[in-house]
Amino acid sequence: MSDVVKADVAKKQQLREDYRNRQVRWGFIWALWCAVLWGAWYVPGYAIYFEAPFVGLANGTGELMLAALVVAFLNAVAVLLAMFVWVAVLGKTSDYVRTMRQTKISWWYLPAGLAGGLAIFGTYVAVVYVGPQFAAVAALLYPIIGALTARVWYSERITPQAAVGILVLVSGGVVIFTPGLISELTGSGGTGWIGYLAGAASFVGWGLEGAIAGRALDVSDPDVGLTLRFTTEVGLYVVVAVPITAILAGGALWTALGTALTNPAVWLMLVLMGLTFAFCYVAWYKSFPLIGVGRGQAIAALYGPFALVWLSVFQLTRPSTEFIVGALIAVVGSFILFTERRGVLEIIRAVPARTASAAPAVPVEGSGRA
Amino acid sequence: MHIKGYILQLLARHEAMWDYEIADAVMADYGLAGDYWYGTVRLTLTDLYSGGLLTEVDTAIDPEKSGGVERLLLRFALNDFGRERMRQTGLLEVVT
Repeated sequence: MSDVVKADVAKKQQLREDYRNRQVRWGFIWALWCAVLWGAWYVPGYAIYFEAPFVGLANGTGELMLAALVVAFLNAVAVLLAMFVWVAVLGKTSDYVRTMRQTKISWWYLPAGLAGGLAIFGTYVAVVYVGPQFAAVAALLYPIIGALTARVWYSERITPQAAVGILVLVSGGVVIFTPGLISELTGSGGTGWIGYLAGAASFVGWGLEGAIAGRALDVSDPDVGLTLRFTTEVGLYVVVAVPITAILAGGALWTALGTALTNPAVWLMLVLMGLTFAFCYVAWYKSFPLIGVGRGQAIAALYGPFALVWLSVFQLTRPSTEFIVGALIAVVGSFILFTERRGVLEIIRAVPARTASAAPAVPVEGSGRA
Repeated sequence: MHIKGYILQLLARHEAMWDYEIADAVMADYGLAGDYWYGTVRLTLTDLYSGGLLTEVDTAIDPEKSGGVERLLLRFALNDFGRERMRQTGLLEVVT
């Protein structure tokens, strides 16, 4: 082999290595962005409960559930509107319509929206029945469900190192919230079980949503896919949850919605919730095809420490010792994930890469624009 | 057809294709132009590759094909897993 050819091969190898490193690095960057914005979402997500009508809806199970439902519904609408703006800016509105028409693909976003919607609603219910610390810890367990489901369902590569990284990272998050968690668990009273059930719904729901999304994103774009997922969540509220609540709560639902939508402070919270949650979710979905559901979800679980950072900034409080210890453990966990061999991370599925000849398969659903 | 589905269908009809050929075909068929869409197609191919649906069969460096920039060009082929996913989602049907 001549020197020129050798140099050419070496250059290609170097460029290929750089390219694949960027691919993995961007997967982690997206997941980290998700964590930062998810943590930020907790600030307006909690603050909205201090505004009318939610601040007054604290008497008994019915009112607490009503408050959680109205907040979760308005949150879903705010995120969907933010996503419509986002896909329009990216020039992907037409692709949103085209993907929706591919029903064998777009239908996957219905169970994703259902599971994710239940997780969000579960978080809000857990906040009002047990407390925000418990809600945060419960949701932090979701990467375990997501990684296990993706591994069993479609052979995502969860190596022993990745499994250890996920567990260490989640443990760090749990340590952060331990003191508040204990006081909330001991003080939750007779209706605490509703909050515990809701907490379980939040981690199972988010874990399953990630796994389902990972499957749907094989054949659809992340920005478009997420918009479809929130379209189904808003649709589920409009068609199922809101009518049922209207029957159960009667005029109280419409009064709560009316009061919320005439309160400018609620609008401000909704804008902030829509922006932070939409873009945290975008980043979450973008990370899945690049580094897998298990790793993407685990890094995104750093939202726990970030939520406390944001709350400390806005409330001007000092972080506790548990926060520092737990955050350090979580960071160690993320390094365990990030330092996996690039060969493992380059292709996230354990599938045979055999390439059959182009024939005899032909596309059937038309090609080009539809 | 949405763009990701179109890319998969394109690869199903060819043994293998270079990324710039795929980007050119997408932009021509959807009336798009510019670096943004070229990058978007390459990013979609990266997603498909890391998801295990495509196999990388060749690489090259040819600044003429990448706007004067020295960039790695990649040649992809649809693999069996990619075909299976296409079949499962109605993007492909086997002729018997």
